[in-house]
Amino acid sequence: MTDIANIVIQGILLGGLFAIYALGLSLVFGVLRIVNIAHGDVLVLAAYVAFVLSDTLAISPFLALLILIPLTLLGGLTFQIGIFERVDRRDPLVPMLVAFGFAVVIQNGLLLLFGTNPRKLDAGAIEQLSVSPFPGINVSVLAVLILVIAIALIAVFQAIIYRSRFGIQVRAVSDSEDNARLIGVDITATFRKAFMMVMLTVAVGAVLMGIKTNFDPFSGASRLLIAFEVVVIGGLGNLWGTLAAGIVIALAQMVGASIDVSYQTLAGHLVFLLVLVIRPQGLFPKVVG
Amino acid sequence: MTQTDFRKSILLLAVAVALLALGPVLLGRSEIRYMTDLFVLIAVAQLWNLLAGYLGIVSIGQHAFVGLGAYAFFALTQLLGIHPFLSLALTFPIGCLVALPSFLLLARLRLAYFAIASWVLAEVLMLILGQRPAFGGGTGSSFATATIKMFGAGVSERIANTYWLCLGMLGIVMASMLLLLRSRAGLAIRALRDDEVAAVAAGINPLLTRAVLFSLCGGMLAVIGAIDTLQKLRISPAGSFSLQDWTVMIIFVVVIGGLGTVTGPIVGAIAFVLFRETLSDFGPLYLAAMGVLAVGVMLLEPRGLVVILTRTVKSIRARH
Amino acid sequence: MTADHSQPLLEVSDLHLRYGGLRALDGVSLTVNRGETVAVLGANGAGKSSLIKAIYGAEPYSAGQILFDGVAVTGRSPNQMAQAGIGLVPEGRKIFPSLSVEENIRLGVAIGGHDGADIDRVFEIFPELKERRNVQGTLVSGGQQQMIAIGRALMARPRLLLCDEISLGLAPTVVDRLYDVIKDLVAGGMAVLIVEQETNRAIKSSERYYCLLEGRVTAQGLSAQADQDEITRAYFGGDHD
Repeated sequence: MTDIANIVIQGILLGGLFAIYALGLSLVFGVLRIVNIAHGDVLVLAAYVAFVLSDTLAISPFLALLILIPLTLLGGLTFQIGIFERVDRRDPLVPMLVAFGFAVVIQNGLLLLFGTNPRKLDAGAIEQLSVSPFPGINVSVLAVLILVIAIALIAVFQAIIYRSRFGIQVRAVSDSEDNARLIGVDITATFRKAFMMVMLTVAVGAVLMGIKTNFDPFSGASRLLIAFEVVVIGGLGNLWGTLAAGIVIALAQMVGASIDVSYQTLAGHLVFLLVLVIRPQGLFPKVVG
Repeated sequence: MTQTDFRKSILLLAVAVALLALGPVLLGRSEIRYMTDLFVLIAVAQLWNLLAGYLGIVSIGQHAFVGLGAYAFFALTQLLGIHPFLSLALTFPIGCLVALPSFLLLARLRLAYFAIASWVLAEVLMLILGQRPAFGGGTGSSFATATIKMFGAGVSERIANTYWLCLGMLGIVMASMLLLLRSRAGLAIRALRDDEVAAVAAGINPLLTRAVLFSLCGGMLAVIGAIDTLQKLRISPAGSFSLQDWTVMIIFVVVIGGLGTVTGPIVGAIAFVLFRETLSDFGPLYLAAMGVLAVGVMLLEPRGLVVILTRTVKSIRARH
Repeated sequence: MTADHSQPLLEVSDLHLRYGGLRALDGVSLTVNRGETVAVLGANGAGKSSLIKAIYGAEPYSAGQILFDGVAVTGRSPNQMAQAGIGLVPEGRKIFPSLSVEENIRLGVAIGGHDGADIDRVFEIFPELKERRNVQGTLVSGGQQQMIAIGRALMARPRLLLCDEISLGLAPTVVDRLYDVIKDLVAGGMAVLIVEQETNRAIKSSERYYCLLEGRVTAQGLSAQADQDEITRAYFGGDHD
């Protein structure tokens, strides 16, 4: 009984981290309609930057996050202006292939710079802390913190997208970029600001990921797949659905792992394929807000 | 493509294949190996190009079928004791039979979703097959010598036979493509990527066409995967299902060369092999360089090197 | 510096616009004065929509000049035009399904950069929108969607309102209502350029008119003195019985 409880709790907590990965991707797919295949690799890149900051400045990763955030925002803006805005988006394949190229460049660049050794961000004592609300049930404080951050991020983004003037623009653009442009919405500015939101999730997700697990230059692929599966299962546009979907995938992984460690990722993939067959629009598709 | 164009192309292909068939007689061992790799690269690139460039199917999971072919070949020859030549042929229908439901499962998904979902399928296939003890689990298994020797008693003989097998495979792929694109259905099929409405008006059923062609490509990829084991001599989850070798590199080759053209993948493959030979000492650098090149080409001339080259040639001619 | 009120608000001179090989506008000139209603008539494909889009900056033109309040506005984007004081009520309304009625209207603020107190004014003009403010924008009737589109454009306090085929697909009583609203707006000092297929309606509602055929102005004049035959000829070209 406690085993099941532990699996469920771990699943819920891990779901928070997955939701953070997916949050950025959801915005990228749903609003910007960019097929950012490099999303996972960008997460890993940010994690490496956090590692360098944390290591050379001898500071906690949480502190490094404060420096990382403006860096990722700047990096994202540079990419946006320098590359993305120059891409011919009439053929949807072209930006996807650009992202593909970037993914490979990032992976191999990281490989050249850092080698294949897995790294990890060291957050100190908090990684060991756990509480025991009931006998036999152990809850990692770090994992709870991640879930809390995920919920906070989602709440903030939800507020921005559904209650602010900017959010109205974002939703209009995601409905129809052409119509929005025609009636005078500043598309470029909207895309840039939305991309900044994405970069924020990347910075936060990278640090939390780096504290919780190991990462190496090729970890990006598996993060992308997780993020993608969560986005598809959750359904585009509903941010709380992303959290629910994150928990679903994480639970699937935990259940798989409990049967056999090597089944962990497979279990997540199978649940994803199952939802795809039964309910391709996702479990919580877009609601008008 | 008109009737005469088609006849010319087939003739050209036949001549090329005939000439290339002399390779093992004239070339040294390492050159034969390069050429073999080039044939395989072009063949796989043409298949991806057919799907993505003409049919509008962008898959980043085709390494699934290559690995499937390798594992199926292993299962047929090593576990079931079936004759290697027959086994090789059988990998084709096996590939088709797995590809068809895979496509139908994902058919409703749009571009990016289809692409990544195809990757998930590949992962699933790799994870499932890769864990079976019969296949050697995570470390894989080797082929029995007896099986390998069926393709040539000595190393030179095997290298030559593999060369001819790959050349033959490439010939089949190229001929199929030319035949397909030139047929009455061909024009309409080419429209599937850009203007589906026109294709439907011409009497094409998009779903059926895509499903059938995707399956056939899956079958051919499986055969290629099986042939590839003759060089690798073993199967393993990471090696047989290599995303890098069978999907990433292929996409770069096609994209850089020119998506949606018959010559594009050829140009791209040659460029790729040249790149690799010059930079291979630098390991990940050449992959990163390929990535940069791909991004550059996409930004400057999304239609690829073929177009860049023809434009350069035209402008040189114009000046004279 | 006060604006020169004797100058036209909008001055379009010799506008040329091509779509590939097709000439959509072939030397069009027109003016709109402050507080004036001007109608642009013409059949489908005559160039009316291209003209509106060119004025609004949504379509680049190959030759010609557009002056708004004496200032050249060549090459400006729709966003910049909106901020300069031109509002667009686009053909087909272009209401966004992800937004509620109120949010669709408020979108106008994002475009024009003015502050949002004006929504009350829009709700005064169109009380039926206020009743349905939280309904999904595309779920209200065609007439109400047209009201949303007009309200949206008004939020940026335009000095010139461009109305592209607002009567399309709507019942006559609804269209009457819309044109009454426009009349009130004009009385309040706004200039309006109406593009209409319904010739009679356009003539009745405007002070001056232009008629387009194949990208050229084939007739113009005071609406009160408009001659039915002349307009028919200018509309369809050549001799028609």
